[in-house]
Amino acid sequence: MIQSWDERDLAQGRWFRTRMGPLNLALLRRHDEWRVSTWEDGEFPELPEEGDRQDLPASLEWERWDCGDDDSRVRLLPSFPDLPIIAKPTTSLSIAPGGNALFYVGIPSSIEVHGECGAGLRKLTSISTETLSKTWHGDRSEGEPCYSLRTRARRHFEPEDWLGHDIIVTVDLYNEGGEPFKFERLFLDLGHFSIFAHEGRLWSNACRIRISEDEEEGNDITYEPCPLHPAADATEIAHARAGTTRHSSLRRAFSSVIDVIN
Amino acid sequence: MTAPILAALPVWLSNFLESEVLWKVVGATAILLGGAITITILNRVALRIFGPRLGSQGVMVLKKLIRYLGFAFACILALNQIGLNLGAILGAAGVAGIAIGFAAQTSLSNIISGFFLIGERPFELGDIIEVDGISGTVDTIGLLSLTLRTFDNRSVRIPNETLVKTNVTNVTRHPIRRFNLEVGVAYDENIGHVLSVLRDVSEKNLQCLDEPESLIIFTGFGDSSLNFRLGAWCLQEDYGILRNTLPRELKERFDEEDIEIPFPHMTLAAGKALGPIPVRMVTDADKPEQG
Repeated sequence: MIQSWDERDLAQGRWFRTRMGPLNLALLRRHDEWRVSTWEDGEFPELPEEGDRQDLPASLEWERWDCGDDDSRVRLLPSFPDLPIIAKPTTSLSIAPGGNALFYVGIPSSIEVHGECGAGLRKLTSISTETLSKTWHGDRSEGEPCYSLRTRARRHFEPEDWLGHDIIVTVDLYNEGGEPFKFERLFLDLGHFSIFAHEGRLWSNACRIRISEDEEEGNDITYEPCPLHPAADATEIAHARAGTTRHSSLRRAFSSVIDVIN
Repeated sequence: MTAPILAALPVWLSNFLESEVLWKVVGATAILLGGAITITILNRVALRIFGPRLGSQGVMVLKKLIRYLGFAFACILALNQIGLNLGAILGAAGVAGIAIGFAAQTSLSNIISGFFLIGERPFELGDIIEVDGISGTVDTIGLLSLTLRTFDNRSVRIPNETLVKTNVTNVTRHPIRRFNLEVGVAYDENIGHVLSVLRDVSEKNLQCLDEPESLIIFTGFGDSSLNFRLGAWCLQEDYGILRNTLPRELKERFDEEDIEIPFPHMTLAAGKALGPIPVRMVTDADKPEQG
């Protein structure tokens, strides 16, 4: 887990490395360029936290971005995967009429690298900490690609259940219909979730989903401004990609934001 | 008003300006220019109204149709302005039309087929299609024919009539696609175990979609193998990668699990008696002398 998401300076010819789950990343400032290299766990175990260019292994492969002579500021930020996700509990859960169920879903984060390029910081790249399996939301003629999460929907928060590179999303499902609701999978568009840091873990703001039987009304979602307990006082470090939304606009935007498939 | 001006000009110039032919030619030119402007405006209006419904193929044909018909109409008006007898011309054109019609049956058939294709819209520019065993990307769509760019960058012209008459497979019409892999294993293997290995390989492949679920079936008892089919779904853009990775990963997993893939062996037999192949030793003395 990256301990600091703050901006920092990197002098000419210097580099630093960081680790997030299975992903290792080195960032080098060289000539008029930012350079980023990634590798898997186990490679270069002796590499220090930072150093001069000549300390780096020659076999590293770099991606490069042009920048100005005096540019030195750099910042790493966590982000959600670039596609929506479909989370499936290992076994389905039936929610009684009028009942509710709280789920903690761990979503593997990505790391965005922002480097100073002239006027300000610019996003250079986004790297996934974990390669996710793909799936399809829709029928065979129309729909959208998503990532699939199979096992990370928990009913309670136990710190040891979660990996350091997971972003913990809490979803509270309310069954307002007259029949039991069999919850088998959850489609989440992640655009309206912000990312918060709390005690070395990443959280998103909580959301509540009201499941209705009325097809036209659909399922109503409300985004809370912050995560649930125990991360209620977490600090926001990355804003929602598609902007934060208020409750009033959420109703209208619901069908394109989130969906619960029975 | 113009008489004093003409009187001031040289005689040859005033005669020229007063001639009827000049003004007919000027009129005909104005009609042609006006026609060109009208065609351009008509094209834009028609595209705005019908464009979204017709698709790229329809738009291309509609533009050509408006241009050709518009210019034909403008030419008729211009010829009429010059004073040519349109009745005689159209009569001759009618007779010629019949003759040309007989001669141009194929072209007309292609044009009419083109209209059917516009209505049906079985493909768009940029789609990958298969026609008569030829696969490629739709490059251009014309009134008479379609041009396919094959994957080895050859250009194949296919008449519209052929597209109407034969089976056309649009490979990229839908956003996801299934890759079918047929595989046979030795008769010693456990069918249930092989099915579970196939399931596991498809689940672990990064391009293979979790949903729709992969089709994994035992297809029957072959001459020398138990046959299976693995149908893995993927995004259109991942098809090429899946086609490369899935068979490789399956082979590697079969090797790990000691699952045997049988294959035919060839035994060389030397003639009637199936005896050993005769071998004759050749020494230096047997070699013919050189020079």
